[in-house]
Amino acid sequence: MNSGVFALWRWEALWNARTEFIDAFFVTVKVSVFALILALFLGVLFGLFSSGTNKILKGIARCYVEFFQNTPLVLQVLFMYYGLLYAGVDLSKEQIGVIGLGVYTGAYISEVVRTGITSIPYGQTEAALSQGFTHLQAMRYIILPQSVKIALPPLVNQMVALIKNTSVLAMIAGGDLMYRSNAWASNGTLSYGPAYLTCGILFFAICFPLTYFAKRYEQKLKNRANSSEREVGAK
Amino acid sequence: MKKIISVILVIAMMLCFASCGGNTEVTVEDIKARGVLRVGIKDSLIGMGYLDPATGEYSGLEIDIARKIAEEMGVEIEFLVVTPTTRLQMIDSGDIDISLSNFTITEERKMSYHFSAPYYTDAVGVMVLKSSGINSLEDLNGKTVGVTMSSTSAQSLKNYLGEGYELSFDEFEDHAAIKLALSAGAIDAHCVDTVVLSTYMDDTTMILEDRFAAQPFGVVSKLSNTELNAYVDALIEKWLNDGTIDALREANGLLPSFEG
Repeated sequence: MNSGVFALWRWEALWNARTEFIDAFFVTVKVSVFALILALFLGVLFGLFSSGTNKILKGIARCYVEFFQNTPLVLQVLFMYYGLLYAGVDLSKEQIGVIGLGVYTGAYISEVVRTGITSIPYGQTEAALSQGFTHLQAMRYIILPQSVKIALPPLVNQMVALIKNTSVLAMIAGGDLMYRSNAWASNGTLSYGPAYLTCGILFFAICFPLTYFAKRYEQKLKNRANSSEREVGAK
Repeated sequence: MKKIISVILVIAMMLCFASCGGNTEVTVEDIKARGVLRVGIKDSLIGMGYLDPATGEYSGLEIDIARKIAEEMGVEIEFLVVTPTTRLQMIDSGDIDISLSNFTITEERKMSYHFSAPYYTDAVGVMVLKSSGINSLEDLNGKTVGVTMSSTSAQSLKNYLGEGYELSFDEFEDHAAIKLALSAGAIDAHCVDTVVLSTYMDDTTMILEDRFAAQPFGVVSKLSNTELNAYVDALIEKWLNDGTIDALREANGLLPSFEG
């Protein structure tokens, strides 16, 4: 029998184990979705804090961002798995995935949000305030619509990074796609070739559409901005 | 459409890279000409394959057998530390010629790799925390057991216990991680070959009395290297018959091979 790494019979073995991979795929999707929601929430919140004027909130946001940006994700996840058990906190692996990835990515997203907001000249806020806008209104109607366009590409990068980072769960037997591929690849007939390739394709299948639609949306925003500028110019 | 085509092309390219590389046969002559036998080993199993961090010396049954094979060929030996997952790729890519790394022989695995006759047969055991209240395998019902990836221990335990037991298994990259998880209470038991368990024993843990499922360890190599494989097989057979291997086993403080 052909013992090649990608021999056909290995693909058949993989096909027979497809439910394992499908289950693992959905674990990864589930963790990604909830972690994304958490990351976006934390990112916007702390992004607003660190671009605002309140010194205390700014300080809190800086501590959060610097701490999570400058320590490895792997260490954070291992800490949550092993360390918290000693402290008597028992989190499920999926919870660790959602919280670990959400908090970690949230730190990056908050930087994306902060730079998005601060890249709009402060003069615009001043102008808005002088016209009777409240600070929140100025944000909502003047600053944020412009920030979104600037922040969208790096934001999507962070989302994709989050999805790929779910693979750290493999280190704590998380049942995610990377874990299942590893486990399957190193059991039975040891057919790691098809297992890792399939794992890669499935990750691609989640991440690629995300970047694709984000790019289209970004283009749409730009076109809309250009056409409204033209309208203004025509008047 | 153009995008889809480009995706398909990339995948096809990856497949091609993967299947084109490393198909040339390595013979004993090649190794002699090279002057070095590359062997995949473990560095954390006392008595089997162990690297003493203080002296930098390797020791153990697998180390001794590997050295004897190199000696027989008249070449130098190079040890490369492998994990259960890396050894597969390293054999396929030709980074190592043979591996003596606690690799259990199974029929399924023989479809992918060549195995020599077993130079040692271990049995699977279960280690628990003394404080856990688990005193026999029966007490494992409903518990979580840690095993390594690429290990046959989980299946063996399930087979041995038979119907009516609910066990869940967590798979880890290495035994140190399992030990850590056991001590932290993330899992209830550590299940693997006794040789491994002995290495991770301490005051807080104990190995349950029941041992089961013979784990024959063989020298692993690439299926396509038929000439090299026959050469190694003959050596192992010879040393099994003339008592060389048994003497090495005793010298390394290992229990007699499990029969059972």
